[in-house]
Amino acid sequence: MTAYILRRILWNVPVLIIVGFVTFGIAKLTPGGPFDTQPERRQLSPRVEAILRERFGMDLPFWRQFTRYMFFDIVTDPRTGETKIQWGAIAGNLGPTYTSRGARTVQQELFEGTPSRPSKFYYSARLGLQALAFAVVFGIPLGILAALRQNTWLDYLLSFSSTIFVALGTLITSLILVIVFAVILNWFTVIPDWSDPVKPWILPTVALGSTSMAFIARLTRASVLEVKRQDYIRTAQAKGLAGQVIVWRHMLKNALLPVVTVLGPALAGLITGTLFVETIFQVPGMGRTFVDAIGKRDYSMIMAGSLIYVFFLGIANLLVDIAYGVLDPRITYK
Amino acid sequence: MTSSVKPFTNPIDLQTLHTKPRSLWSDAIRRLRRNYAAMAGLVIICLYIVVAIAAPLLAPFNPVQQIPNNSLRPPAWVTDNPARMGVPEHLLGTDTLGRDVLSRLLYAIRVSLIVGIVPQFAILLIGITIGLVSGFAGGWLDNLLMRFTEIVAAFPDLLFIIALSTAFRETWLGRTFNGLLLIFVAVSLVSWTGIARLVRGQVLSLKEKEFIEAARAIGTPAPAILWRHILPNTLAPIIVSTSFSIPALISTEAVLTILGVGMRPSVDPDNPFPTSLGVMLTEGYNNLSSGPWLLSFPVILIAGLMLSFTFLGDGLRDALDPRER
Repeated sequence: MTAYILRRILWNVPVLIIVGFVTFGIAKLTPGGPFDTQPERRQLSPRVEAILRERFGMDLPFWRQFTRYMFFDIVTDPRTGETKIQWGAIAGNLGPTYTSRGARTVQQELFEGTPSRPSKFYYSARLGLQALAFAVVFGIPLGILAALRQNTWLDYLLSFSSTIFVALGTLITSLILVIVFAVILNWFTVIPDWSDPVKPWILPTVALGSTSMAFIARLTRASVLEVKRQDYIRTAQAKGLAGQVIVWRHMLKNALLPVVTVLGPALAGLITGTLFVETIFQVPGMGRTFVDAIGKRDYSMIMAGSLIYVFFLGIANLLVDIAYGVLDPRITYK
Repeated sequence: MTSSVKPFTNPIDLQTLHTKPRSLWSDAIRRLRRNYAAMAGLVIICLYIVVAIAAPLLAPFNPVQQIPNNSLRPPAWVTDNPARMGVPEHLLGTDTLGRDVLSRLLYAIRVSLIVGIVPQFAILLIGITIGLVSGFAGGWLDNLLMRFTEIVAAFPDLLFIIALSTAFRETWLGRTFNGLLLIFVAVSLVSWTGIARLVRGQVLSLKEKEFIEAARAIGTPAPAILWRHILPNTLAPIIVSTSFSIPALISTEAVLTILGVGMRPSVDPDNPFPTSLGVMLTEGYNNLSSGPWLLSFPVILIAGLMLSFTFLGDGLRDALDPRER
């Protein structure tokens, strides 16, 4: 088990490096640079720009820029003449942002906040976790309910609506929620007021979580139906156990195991979903920042976006695998 | 009692024995035709296709024609505001530039259908090739190809597509076909991994079947085994997976356009593909308070299209894989 986990963690390292390399390549191929996205409104004097280019190492060869950002660089202090190693993304240093002209690092930009002005990471993480909680808390009971009432109108209704939610996807669900609840019913404002701790979160959470919820409900239903046909359930019924005991003790414990596996893909959907859900509901989170960074050619922020998403996905998938192994003693990892 | 002892003397039974056995495909079509949701989906998809082809005949106005003093008219049945009333000429109202919404929608369906279907060819080509080779060859080649697939699948695909679309937006690739070609390429590059894994899994299980062993025993060359015997048997899951992938691509185009890196709307009155449902969603979202119908109609159309493909896909899955029922 430990060897398996270690190997999985190690496999994530080359994945991160390759994803980083491709992202860096695409970012550098993009015409225009961080300091001249709008040449007609150039705010920088040539002298300042030269200093900035020097500071960001933009005149180095491509591979040197990449290793400098990703791994490390040996820098010489111009005043003292000391040389030291400056670690890169591999050590968690995501670099200074180009938009701030190097004054602020990506870490400060994303993770630093005050209680009155939370960080971008806080908004994205809270939205993602809320959506996941929403998906699990509603998806699993609805799936169980549909399976226990198999072939009744309730089952048909639940199955039909989960098919619709899965089919529509996060984007269209978000837009429908906006039309119905913000425009027609006027329960929510289109421009959110983030000082309110509850109200602005409701629509984005539901929008982001609904597809996963429907997905989880569908899988739970199939899984409970599968277990219901097993011999040990018939044995339990034959020996006269109460229906409630059979459902809670014998059925659900086994039926919910496969549901754990769907959490990996569900998390992936939630993470990519934040990119546009944050735009539609105007959440000041990381997703919007990364999309904007591409337009502004903020190379450090683009890299950070790619690396952070791959990193969290890797962790999430690993946790799901471990949880599955712990919950199901029949599964051993080699 | 006696009749069950000698069944073959019964002429009716003899007749049944001589009827041609039904093939897997005709059997599947029979099952599909009994599935009302799937058939409704198929009919609606056909309607969309007819509308897309006949858009120039059906559209009452040119989709990019800007009519002065005619902007933001609500749909024809909204007549409660005398300052801005719906008129029968513009059944679904007009947008901020005074263009007819109905005409734009008809043309938009064209692009959205193309966006959903055309990249599938590239996705299938890459995915099937890699899956077949990987599953059939096995060994180090399989290992290499699957590691490659895993890395591509690990890419944050939406972020990758956005970055790629931004990078090549100003090149010839980004200008061809209003930027749609670039979307096709970007989407195809990251979306083939599911098909590759699916085909590989199928090949791995088929490889061990007796009929493949028999083909090998009589000396059939490997390419012929792949092409004649293995590929046809992987088609059913591929068809199902493709019908689910079409609505996903339609929605990806809309996501890209909302984020500002998708299709460029055209102002050329002769352009046969001036706008897409994604473009109309974006325009509607940006004018949410002044003209809610600008968002509502494209949402209804795109939802109908995506639901139809999903119901058809569900029906195909049930029809092609009887074990799942």
